Formats: sequence, structure tokens, C-alpha cells
Amino acid sequence: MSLFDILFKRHKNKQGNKKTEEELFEQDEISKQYFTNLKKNKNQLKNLFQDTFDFNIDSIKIADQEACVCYLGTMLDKDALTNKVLNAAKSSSKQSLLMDIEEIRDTYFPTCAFEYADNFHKVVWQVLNGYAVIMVDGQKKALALEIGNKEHRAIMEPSTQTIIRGPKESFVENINTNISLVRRRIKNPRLTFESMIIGRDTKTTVAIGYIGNIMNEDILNEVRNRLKKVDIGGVLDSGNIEEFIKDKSFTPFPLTFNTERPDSICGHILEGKAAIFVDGSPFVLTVPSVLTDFFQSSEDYYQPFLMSSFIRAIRYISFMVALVLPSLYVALSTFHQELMPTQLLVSIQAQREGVPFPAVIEIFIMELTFEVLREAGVRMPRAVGQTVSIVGALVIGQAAVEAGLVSNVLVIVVAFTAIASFVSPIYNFSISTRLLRFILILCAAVYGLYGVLLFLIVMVIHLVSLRSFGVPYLAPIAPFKLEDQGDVFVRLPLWTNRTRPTYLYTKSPIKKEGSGKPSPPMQKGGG
Amino acid sequence: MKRKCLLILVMVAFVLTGCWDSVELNDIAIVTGMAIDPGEDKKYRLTLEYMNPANFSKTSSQQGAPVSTMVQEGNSIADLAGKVNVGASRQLVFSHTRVLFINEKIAEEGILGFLDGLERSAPFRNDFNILITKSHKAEDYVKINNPLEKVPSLKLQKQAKSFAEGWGGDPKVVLSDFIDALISKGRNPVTNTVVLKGDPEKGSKQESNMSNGREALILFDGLAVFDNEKLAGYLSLDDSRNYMWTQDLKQTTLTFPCHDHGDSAKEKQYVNVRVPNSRTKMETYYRNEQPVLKVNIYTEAQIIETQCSDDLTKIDTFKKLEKNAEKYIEESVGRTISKTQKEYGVDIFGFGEALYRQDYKKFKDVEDDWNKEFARAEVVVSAKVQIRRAGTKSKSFLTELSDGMEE
Amino acid sequence: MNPKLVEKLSLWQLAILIFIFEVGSVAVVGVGQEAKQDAWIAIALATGIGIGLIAFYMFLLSKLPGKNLFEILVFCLGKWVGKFIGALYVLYFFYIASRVLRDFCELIITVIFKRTPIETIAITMMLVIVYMLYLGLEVLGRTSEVFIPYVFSFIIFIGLGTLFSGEMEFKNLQPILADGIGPIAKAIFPQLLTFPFGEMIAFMMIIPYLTKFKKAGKVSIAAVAISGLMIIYASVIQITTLGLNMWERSSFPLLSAAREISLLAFIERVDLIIVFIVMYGIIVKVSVFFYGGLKGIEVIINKPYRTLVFPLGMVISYFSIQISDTFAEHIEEGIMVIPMFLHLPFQLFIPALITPILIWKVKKQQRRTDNESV
Repeated sequence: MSLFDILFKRHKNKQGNKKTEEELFEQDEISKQYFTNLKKNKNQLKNLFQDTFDFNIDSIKIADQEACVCYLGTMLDKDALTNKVLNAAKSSSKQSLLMDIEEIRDTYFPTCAFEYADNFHKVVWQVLNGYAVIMVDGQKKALALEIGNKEHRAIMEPSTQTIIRGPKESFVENINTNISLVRRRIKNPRLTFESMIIGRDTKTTVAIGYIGNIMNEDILNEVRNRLKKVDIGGVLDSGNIEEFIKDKSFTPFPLTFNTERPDSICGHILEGKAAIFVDGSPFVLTVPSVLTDFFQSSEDYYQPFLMSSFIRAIRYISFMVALVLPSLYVALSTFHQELMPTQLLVSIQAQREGVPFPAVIEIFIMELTFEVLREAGVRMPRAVGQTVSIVGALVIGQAAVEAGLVSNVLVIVVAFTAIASFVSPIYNFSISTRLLRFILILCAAVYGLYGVLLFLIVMVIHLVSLRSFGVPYLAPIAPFKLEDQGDVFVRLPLWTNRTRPTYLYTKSPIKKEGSGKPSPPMQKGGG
Repeated sequence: MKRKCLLILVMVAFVLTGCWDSVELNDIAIVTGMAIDPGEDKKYRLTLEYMNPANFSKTSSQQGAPVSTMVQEGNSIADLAGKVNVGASRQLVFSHTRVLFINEKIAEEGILGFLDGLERSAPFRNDFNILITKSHKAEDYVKINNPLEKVPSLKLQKQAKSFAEGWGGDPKVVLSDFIDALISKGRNPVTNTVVLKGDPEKGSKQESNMSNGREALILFDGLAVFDNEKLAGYLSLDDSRNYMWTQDLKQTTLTFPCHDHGDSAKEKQYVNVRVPNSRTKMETYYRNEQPVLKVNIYTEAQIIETQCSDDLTKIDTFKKLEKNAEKYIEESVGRTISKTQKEYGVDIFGFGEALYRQDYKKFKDVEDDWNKEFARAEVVVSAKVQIRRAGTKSKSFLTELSDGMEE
Repeated sequence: MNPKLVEKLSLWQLAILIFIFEVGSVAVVGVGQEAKQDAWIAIALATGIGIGLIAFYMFLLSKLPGKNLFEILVFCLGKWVGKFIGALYVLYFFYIASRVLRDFCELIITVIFKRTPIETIAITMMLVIVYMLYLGLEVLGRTSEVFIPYVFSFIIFIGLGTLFSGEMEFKNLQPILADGIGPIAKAIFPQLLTFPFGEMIAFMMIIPYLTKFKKAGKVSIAAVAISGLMIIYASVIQITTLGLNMWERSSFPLLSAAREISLLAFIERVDLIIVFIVMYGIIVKVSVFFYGGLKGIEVIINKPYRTLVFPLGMVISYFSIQISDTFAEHIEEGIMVIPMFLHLPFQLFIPALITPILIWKVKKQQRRTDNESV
């Protein structure tokens, strides 16, 4: 039996604690019961939110009944609240009919988004979500009204995955906005979003988006199960979720794809993958993801196919360059001088004259310096960041060489490696090459090219043993699927691409019938 | 967990104990050329030429000579290479050796002594030229400066390549070819030879690069013919091209007389053609127990110079020139083969191998004294030349001139 | 989980494994020296015999679908005798695995490293193999899928490279059949027959674990045929580039041939490519034999093999050093002793011996089940 089965059996044994909306909080934390007595409810709420300055309970009268509105003042738009609730209260004061809560809603808040809360947990939950909760004395349920949130960040251009041609929108922190960005692109009634709440303290909304009649049911169930089993204090970004749902933690390679581009997410959903939206994070995950996903940019499909295929080739090559170039340098210069052409060898040797360090140390110093610079460049305030990179470039490029600490060739190697590592369209994939690069340099220093080859083989063995939600990570390459090759190393014209990726085992593997090959209108005789 | 720790321990052990074979570039010297002379006390005297990397640096000012040499005596090549650090500060790397100069005195005694060592050891590649030095000591050859190429051995290798491409005068003998020919019963080895013109003392000084004329120059000077591992004698430069005709010469430039009249070489008028492509087929067979060596040469050519007044727009002229060229090639190649038969009696052309391929059984009978068979064999050379075109001008102005004179 | 998502070895992977298994080491070590310039004819004939051999193995396997060689042995010869012969097979597989590993170590030590102890090479290689087999057979299959384009195109490249460098002399292949059929027969029997083709007996441990067992026969025959062509291609490269003499004398002829490549005055010194081909070829070959042996132990002691991978892997790397003191001893054993006294009995005689027993027993079993169903 394969490792895979073992993996899943283990998961089955570890039955996670299921969370429904009714059991959002621990029982000892807040009692669950919702009282018909308004005062009791009020007290309970007050106890809970004791010292919070932005928690308000305003007493009002609706339809001549004792009632109160409770809300977090910082979470909603107070003008809207006044308009909606207090005006309603005012207008209802003229009537003195006894109404139950449903009638109140129908009469006074017909257009508002709402929800009933029949237990106390739900009341607290809705208050925390920025709803105004109306509790009426003597009623068994409370009415939670969505008033409209404070403003969010507007939809802007993506900052991490920019493209030249194609949609310029990117996801924002609000999950509803994000879902709407996807919905607007895929007008399919079977596009489903399932939501759940994850995080003991943050109670973050997480949604799984997929197309019901495409997505494979087994993979989907696996996604649901794994999300349900996530047990975490706080979810602040989709990255937190990612670590819990990976098939294997001890790997440098990302097993879930993330992007802030809605078009890219839509592409994945249409292929038969599931997207995982996390409230508060502009990065949306898609699973299952395979290695080749990380070499594809959504722009590939917007540019002519010849060009995109070429660019893809460049990406694969630069991945290899970023991975092996420094170790190749070490191996060739300290082990295999005979493999270099004489002229090249002597010019490298000439530059290394007087450099006090062994090649390995030299390259480690430079690579580390570069990593430090890169990190500093990212973390620094924008204004300082520029200065840092200029100083860094000068220090590395000029001074170190002139002082004879490192050789010219090495600077070229390090710089080219660094540039090559930025080519990957997905940032966290390039991180993995950074890590592996250091191990490779070490292997090269010990065993030369033999070590490099050996480690590359080990890396491939590791890669083929990985799975993302049951799908082999190297999927269209190993196991080899001929049908999928049109969109792996090259991108064939879109009209040739008739099937969805077979490794996803979708419910409807055929995307479209007919070839749809474009051609000039048929010539008719004579003309 | 314990097991994982153990695994990590094993890995660490491998990392920490590694690096047996690593050598920093600062600790090596790249050997580019070797010269072997007879030793005074011991068997050989080996001169190694290695590059001085500081001289090749682009940034710092050029320091020192581009190469330095180091001389040592010993009984075997490996022995010499092994203890070379008696005088050198760095480990020597032999994988970039480009040229091996062998003093003719060594060659006359036989060079088997060190060929195996060169072939067996992994660092030596099979891409260095073997050259026999005719004058001076072989040692001098790795010292001669040249302003165009800093490294004498690299210069010589480039020279050989250009010579082969331009005139077809270099048989491109590398180690494996030499050994192949040595072992083969149907062929004997040849190598190119070099001769030093000028004063080696002055030529080895850096200052010599400052003057326009060369104080010393290394020239190719025909072939060295080996009888097995021993040097048997030389062939001239012209003969070496003729030798190359039999060995599938690819490109050359050919000068042949365009008329039959005129006796001495100076009186004749010549046509010069460029041969961009040529093919040679060798046949060896027995006619009534008489071995026949047949060389068929198929050649294309284009005229690049003419001293004759023939009209180059006429088919007849082309036909005539072709015939002359064929005759010239047939005569000169035939001459070289018979000269080899008579003077040295060793088959350097590989006729025996041709027989081996064409009539295996017959070759088996004669293989042990093939060289005798070769010496008594009849030689037939047939050339087929096709002149395709005549350069940028159709008629030569010489034709116009002579036409005018006739009128 | 969907059973479709759990994959065993596919037919394509089997074909690749057979290809790399056959070509990987043979293309480099060079075979058929006895046949001289007619080596390619000998290889072509041997390929034909090899196809017959794999067909024979497939026939044995098809009699008891889903059972591997060891289970067949136990089925035919009874529990004790079957297990005893099985144990001999385990030793045989492990011995061959360590020999193959030694081949590679010798190559690395002579070509790349001068001072590195040979043991470290053996152990590091074995660690990789252990890691791969620990992850399972399908990882071996998939890793090969990733590397096959490189292995394949590198071998092709060496041919084209030597051709365009002008190093190939096709007249080196003449005269054809100079000494008649004698040397060819000598080359085929026993050397070419057993190495590389007879060694496919190890695949009797792998083929039963295919997804589509029924088509395995055709696929493996095709794979053997293609690898035969590739070996012919490689040996033609070697003979034409090196000449007969050099070829016979080279320890690693393809490596020597690749050293002749010089294209555009830049693409030269491509030894590394060869080392890579061999390296992966060796990994596959050792893995297949090692896996065969492990599976055999699994049958004998009824325990999953995973716990044994690491210790036995280390034992193999130890034995790869210990089996012979010198390279000469290693090679001589490989040519004189192994084919006659190990390869032939294990690859041919024992399978041939159990064939009638197998047919008879299967028939008996069928009759019994028929009777029972009636």
C-alpha cells in the first residue's frame, strides 16, 4: 500500500471537533441561553463586553414594546444605524400593536439584510460581526440587522503579481468583496461557496469556492475535512490556514497555490480546483495545486501563445539557474577544472587571484549578503528601502570586488541567480529555491558535481513523493499525462485545449466540443 | 525520532568528512604545453609550460609573463608530473594540455615509454597535438612568445587548426589517432613536425613582443613518419598536403600550371583554385598477387587566381583546367606515395586498413608483413576535379589583353 | 479516497524502467567486445533473444496473475523448497545489486575523483536508493518518468555531437562478418544474453504490481526492443568514434567517445552528461534488484519490507566494496564467473525448471475449482 493510504488512515483516526455556528463559543465562557426577558439578556451582554468603550446598548421602543439595540459602535456606520433603526422606532411609536419579532422585521426593516438569533451565542456573534442586534422584550429571538460596515480598502491593482495585459483588479481583505469579484467573472449557478468559521479567538470566516459540476467530489470532501480539522487560535492570513491543510509539512515546496488575482483564481476554479477564501486576507488559496501551477501566470493566456510558451521556457530555465548556478560555480571551480574551456578557466582563475576565501565561503558570504539585503529591502520603510538597495549594490558590486574580497565572476553568478529567482510568478515558490540553493552549494562543496546531481535526484524523488490533496505534485509530468501536455511546458493555442487537467479527475473532463480553430472565410469559386 | 537523529548524524558525517578532491583555483596552475627532451642523467627531461593567471586579469595591471616553464628530469612522465612541486608552488592541472612537443632524438629512440601514461590517466584529454621538433631543444618551443597569442602552446594549436582549414597541411594527429595507428597492422603513425626559425633566447623574452619582426618563430615543417614507435624520417611540407589528399582532405588551395608547355617551374603560368570540398576513397586489392593501391579523389574547386589568358567563360577552358588539375593532383599524390614506399617502406596512409575492410581474408594472410607488401605495391591515383565557378569576374582582363594583341 | 487517485506502476512507467534498466549501464560499459566491429549485429540478435526471454517470463507470470516470482516459487515447489530457492534468489539479487553499484563507484573514482574514498560514493548512492525505495515503487516509477527525457535525449545528443564534430568514421564498422558468425555467437552466449537481457528476471518482482497487468507483456516487449535499438545506437557511436581498438580497450567507452565531442568550439568536455546517464541508470538498476530482493524477503519472512530498507541498503553498499579488491578482479569475475555460474542458472535454468511444474499445478488447481463449482 502506498504512503498515501497511510496518510489518510491517520487523518481518519484523528477526528477533529466539529464546529457549527451554534457552538461558536465554549459553554463555560458564555451561557448559551437566550432569555425572553430583555433585562437578563442585557445584563448578560453587559457582563460580557464590560469594559469595551465601543459597545453600546441603546434602549428604544419598537411598536410600543421595550427593546434595545446593541452594537459595536466602531464596527458600523452610525448614520446608517440612526436612519434605519431609530427612524423605524420613531415611526412605530405611533402604533401600539403588539408585534412579534418577525412582524417587526417585515414592517420596519423590509430591505435590510438580517438574521435571527435564537441563542445567545449567535447574538454575541452578530454583534462581533458588526451587526446591530435588536432585542425585544418577550421575544424568543433577537433580530440582527446588517447596517453596513465601515469603509474597506478599495480594490486596487495587485501589488505582488503584476501583469502587463489582463485584468488589473486584485483581492482585498473583505471576504464578501472577494467572493463578489469571483462571482462577477463566473456566472454559473453551480458556483458554490461554502463558508465555515475557523479560529478559536478570531472566528474568521473561511469560504470554499468551487463549481459543483466540475470539481471532483472526493477532493472536495478532503478539502472540507481538512478545513474542519484546523484547530488554531487565530487566523490572520490565508498563510495560517495553508500550514494546516498541507499534505506534508516538512517540504520546502508550497503545496497550495496562492494569489491575489481574481482572474487567476477563476481560472483555477474553472479547471476544477477549489479556492479557499479567508476573511481578512487578500491572498486566496487554491487546492489541489501542482508544481507546474507555479510556473504559470494568468497573463500566459492573454498573450499570444508563442510568446507565452517562450516565457514559460524562460521561467523553467531560470528556476534551474536559480537553483544550481552557485553550486555549479563551486563544483566547477574547485572540483572539475577540466570541464571548463581553457579560456574561461584562466579568466576565472585570474579574477580569483588574491581572493582570500575558498570558493564556498566566498559564495556563502555573497549569497547571505544578498539575502540580508533582500530582506532589508522588503521590511524597510519605502523611503529608506531605496537607499539600502543602492548602498547594498555599491557595497557588493564595487567595493567588495575592488577590495579583493570576492571575485568579479562570483558577483555575476550571485546577481544572475538572484534575478533568476525572481522570475517565478508566485513568490513563495521562489523562497523554496532560495533554501535549496544553500544545501546545493554545500553538496557541491563536498562532492562536486556528483553531489549536485545526487541532491537533484533526491529533490526529484522528494517532489514525486509529494501530493497535494491526493493529487501527485508533479502531476502532468510524473505520472505522465499526454492530454495535459498542451499547457505545461508550452501553452498551445486556447482552441486546442479541450479538456480540463486529467489529474484533477473532474466530473466533466471535456471543456468544450469541436475544435473552433480559427480560419479565414472559405473562398468561394470565382470571387 | 531516534532514527531521524541517527540519519542526520550520518548525513553530517558525510558532509564534514568530504572535500577530499576539492582544490581552490588559487592553488592550481594550468599546464598548457609539455616538451620532452632526452635527459642528461635520466631518461627524460620534461618541460612544462603553465599559465600565470595574474597576467590574464582584466582589472589589475598585467603582472609577469603569461606563462612560465619548469624543467625536470626523470625516468617516467608520471614520476615527473608527480614530484613537480620540487619547484612549483601550485598543483598542476594537466587537463588543459594543448600541445606535446617531442624532441626528434626521443622520437628516434621510440616514444612508447610515455604514451601509455598519457593515455591511461584521466586528466589528460585526447585533444592535444603531438608535434616533433626538428631543430633546437623541444624545451625552447614552449617559450617562444607571440604578441597575438599570449600562450605559446595555445598559439601553436590555433596555428595547426588554421593551417588545416586553410591549406590542409595538418593531419590533426591527437593521441588516440597516434595510438590507433601504432596498434593497427595496416597503418603506421605520422605526426606533424615543427621547426624553430630564429633565436630562441631572444624569442623567449617578453621584449620580443615589442618589435614588429619576430625574433623567433615556430613553423610547421612537413610530416614525421614513424616505423611503429620509432621515427623513420620526414616528408616535406608539400608531401604532407599530398598525404592529406589520401586522408580525406577537406579544404585546401591548389596551384597548378594551366599549360603543359614551359619546362622549369618559373617559366610556367599557374592557376590557383580553392578547394572547398573534397572526398577521397582508398581501395586496396590484389591483381595476380600484385598489391594495387588505388586512391580516388573527387574534388570541387573554384578559381581564385589565374595567370593564363584562357577565356574563363568557355566550357572548354574549364574542361582543360580540370584536366590539368587532375593531372597535377595525380602526379603529386602518386609521387608522395612512391617516395614513402621507397624511402621508408611503411604504410602511413592506411592502405592496409582499406584492405582489411575490403578483403578481410587476404589481409589476414599478409598482415604481419604488410609493410613489405606496401613497398612493392603498384600505385594508382585517379582524381576527378570539377571547377564550379570562377570568382567575381567572368573573363580575366588577361584574356582581353591577349585578345587585343591577337587582333 | 477515490481509487483512481491511488496509482501503482503504470504501463508507461514500466516501459521507462525497463528502458533505463537496460540502457543505463550497458550503454556506458559497452558490451559485445568479442564480436568486434560486428557488436551491433550481436546486440541486435541478443535483443531478439531478450524479447523471447521477457515473453517467457511474462508467460510464467500470466499463469498466476498478481503473484511475483517468489510466490510462484513457493506455489510450485512447496513452502520449504520454494523459500530456500527464494532465499538463493534474494542473495543473487543483492549480489548483482552490489556489483552494479561497484561498477558505478569505479567509474566515479577513476573519472572524477582521485582522493575521495570509494566507500563514500557507494554509501551516498545507496542512501538515495534507500530513500527512494522507502517511499515505494511508484516513486521509483515517477522519478524515472521525470528523468527519462534527459537520459534519452542525452544519449541521442552524444551520437549527434560526435557525428557533427566529425569524429565518427563509419568505415570502422567494416568489414562486416569478417570472421563469420563465430565471434558473434561467442558474444551473445553467455555474455550478452545474460547481461543486460537476462537480468530482466528482476522485473518478475515488479510486473505483478502493475495497474494493467494484461497489457504488460506487449509493453515490456516493446520496451526491450527499443532499448535494444538504443544499445545498438550507443555501440555504433562507440565503435565509429573510437575505432575498434580503442573501444576494446576503454573501460567506459561511451565516456571516451563523448570526450571527443567539440561543437562550435564551446560545447566540449561533456563528460558530465555521461556521468548523469550512468548515475541514473545505476540508481534504477540497483533499485530494481534491491527491490526484488526486498520483496523476496517479504515473502519469506512475511513482514513489510520498509523496515529492512535502510539496514540492507547499507549491507549492499558494504558488499559492493568487499566483493573484489581490485578493478581487474571485479571485471574478470564479471566476465568469467558470473554469467556461467550465477546468471545462467538463475535467469534461465530455474525458471525453465519450474515451468512444467507450474503449468501442471495450475491445471490441477483449475480442475479442482471447476469440480468445486460443479
